[in-house]
Amino acid sequence: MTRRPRTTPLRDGFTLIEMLTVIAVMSVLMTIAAALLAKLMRLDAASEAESVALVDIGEFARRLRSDAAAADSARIEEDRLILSNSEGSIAYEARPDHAIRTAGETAMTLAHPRGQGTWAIPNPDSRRPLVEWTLAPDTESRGATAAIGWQLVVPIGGSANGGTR
Amino acid sequence: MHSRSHLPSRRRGVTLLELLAAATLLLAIFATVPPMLATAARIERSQTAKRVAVQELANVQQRILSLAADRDGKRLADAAIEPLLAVRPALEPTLGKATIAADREPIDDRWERLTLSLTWTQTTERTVSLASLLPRSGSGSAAAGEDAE
Repeated sequence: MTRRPRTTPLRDGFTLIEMLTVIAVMSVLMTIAAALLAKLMRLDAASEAESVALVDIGEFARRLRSDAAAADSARIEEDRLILSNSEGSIAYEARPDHAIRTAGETAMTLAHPRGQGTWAIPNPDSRRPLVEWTLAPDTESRGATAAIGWQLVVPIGGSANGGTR
Repeated sequence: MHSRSHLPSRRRGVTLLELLAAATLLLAIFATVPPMLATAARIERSQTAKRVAVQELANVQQRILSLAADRDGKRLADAAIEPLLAVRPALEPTLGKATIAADREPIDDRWERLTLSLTWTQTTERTVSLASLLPRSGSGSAAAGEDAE
């Protein structure tokens, strides 16, 4: 019996154990990389949401402070805060993810983080009454500011320049 | 007899040096990146806590100034201020067991400086402060101070 002559050259390759080792190491590295990437993306999204929330709250606070400073009195009707002076009144209406500010015929939306805002006037008979706006925390929101809620305590009156309308 | 140079070049795998270099680089990357991410997250939490602390102090300050306005410029008693020096329970997840302290320092016959300090622990103890003016005696109703949103 004659041996069949080898027609193809000996081919270099990898053993099964080498392949398994490489696959295992690659799996570990890719898992770690994916976890890091996911964490980085979560951080990025949270940071972006936080920035947006802070800008919204900053603008909201600026408007509210300005209007409250120009007002002579404040009252709450249902979920509306009404700031009044001799020139008229400005109403703030709380909604789940924004507030509506109405001055005369002009209404504008003031954004704030998701969560229900509520109004309170804790000391209406004081010489320096306060308006309290409290935003309930929303645990599903990504930004830390929304997740912990927010509170603004603003004095009524005290400005000779008037508010921005 | 075959000389060594006539042997087919059979290079299998990588050299030990290559392997060590790759392992060192990978180790360096995975030893550096996670702590950096953790540090970034910690700084963000810290900044959020500071913002919340300043806002809470500003709220307490407004309540105290409102109380002072009803006293006809007379000195506000410490006992009147004390109940206002509380951090809202809703802030406990962010600030932990935080405390607010008030320090009153006379400036002249009419005014005193009220410094509110909020202290919380976040790996280390941290404090933020806000100052305002309160009337001590006689007439005077306005108060001024640092404020923050």
